[in-house]
Amino acid sequence: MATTLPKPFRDLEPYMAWSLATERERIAKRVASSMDEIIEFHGVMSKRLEEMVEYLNQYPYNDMPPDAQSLCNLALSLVEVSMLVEMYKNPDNLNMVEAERFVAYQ
Amino acid sequence: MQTKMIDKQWSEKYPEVGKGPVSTEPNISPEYFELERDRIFRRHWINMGRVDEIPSAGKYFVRELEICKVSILVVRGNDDKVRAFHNVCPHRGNTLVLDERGQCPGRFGCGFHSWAFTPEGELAHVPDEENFFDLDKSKLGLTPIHCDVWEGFIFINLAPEPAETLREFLGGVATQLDGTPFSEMKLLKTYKVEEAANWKTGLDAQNELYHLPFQHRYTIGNALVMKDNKFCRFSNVNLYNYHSVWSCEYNPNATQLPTEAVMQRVDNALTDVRVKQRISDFDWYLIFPNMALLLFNGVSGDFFMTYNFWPIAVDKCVWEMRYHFPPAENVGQRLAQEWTIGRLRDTLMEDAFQHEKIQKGLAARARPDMVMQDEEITIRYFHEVIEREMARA
Repeated sequence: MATTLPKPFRDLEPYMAWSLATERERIAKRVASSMDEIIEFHGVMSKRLEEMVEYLNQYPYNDMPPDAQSLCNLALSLVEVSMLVEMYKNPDNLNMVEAERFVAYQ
Repeated sequence: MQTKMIDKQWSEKYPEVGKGPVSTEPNISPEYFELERDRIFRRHWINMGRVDEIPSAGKYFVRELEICKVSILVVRGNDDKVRAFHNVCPHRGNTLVLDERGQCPGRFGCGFHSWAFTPEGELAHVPDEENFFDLDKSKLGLTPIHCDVWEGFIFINLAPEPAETLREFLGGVATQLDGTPFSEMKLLKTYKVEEAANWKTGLDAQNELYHLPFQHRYTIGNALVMKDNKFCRFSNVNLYNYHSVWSCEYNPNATQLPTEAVMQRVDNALTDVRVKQRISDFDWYLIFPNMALLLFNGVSGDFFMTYNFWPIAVDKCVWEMRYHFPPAENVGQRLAQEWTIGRLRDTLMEDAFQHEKIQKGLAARARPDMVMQDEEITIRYFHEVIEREMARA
């Protein structure tokens, strides 16, 4: 995975900790982060999401250069936290099984 | 809106279905669970997966049907036919294939003495064959299991001679869904969760929408609850010999979430896979005994899910969830699919939590029965079918 993002998105590099390749890692990050951190990440990414997708659409989903893949992983992390911020707001409200019990394949 | 807010309309449509309390015993009794092995799971057609998982000759997957203590090898032969076998070497009973899925490298070789089998199940090679006594290789192929395919769904039947064909078993479900373009929607994601719940407890909890405005108020309630249908009543219910389907409409005035709105804008695929067999926006089929098939009206193409509830013990099951979408044409469409998967996944994580709480409550035997309303008719009917099949000696 590249440690840099494509040129137009270099300003998002402070959030590279969210650029995670697998759903499992993204869920773990969501669970380990405070609501304030999540809200900040969501706020910054949401404003750029459409622009990110426009850029990424030049590549096939399964065959991107490393910097574009890093950007795509950021978008996937936004998807991962968007429910939390936009719907439940407070993760402590939720009665769910622990995320690590939900095993994802593919 | 097609949904009619008529009280007790489904019992009026199906007056033969009961209205009284439903016993909790089948969900908590160890003796009942033991009988289900022979009377439900060894006697009826059980879904294993889809042909898309084994698209070419020699591709295979293995399913552990734990309640029956059977390991099943499902493989596509060089003649393109999909077959199922006991995953057992006929020599001395060793488990033949250890991987969960893969490509047969010409032969399946047993790890014990290297007996080798073709993807069609024939015994091809025995090391030191001359030293056996009257060995007839033609009689020592892998033990076949009845296997049939409907619209790409692979089913097996462990009965020595199934009482009915897969087609007869599926009955009205097959009639309703024949020709559905399932193969145009590809498996994108599978989840499994092991639950401290009876397999029917999980299936029952999924088999209604009455809980939606309450249990899922933070996750998905908003998409279906409407001002003039605040309890998510169904728009249609059909009962078949073994199976059932209920359908509902989406809320056309649902408030869009910010990311959802972006996803809808970027999800601008050109192809548009549509299921004309859909009854309403969302159809939920129970395919007896342990499978659900969910058809969704999607933003840029329909999609479907399957659930398989795999019984492990009276109070333990594995809930397997599979999402199938039209192949994404671009990153935008794929991200929109990931968003849909994520929203549903969080909802299902709430469900899994609830299944265990329900099981605990039922097992406490605080009451001998459960009370069900008209919108819970498909659960009630499922229990009636279970009881009917269990009564067959």
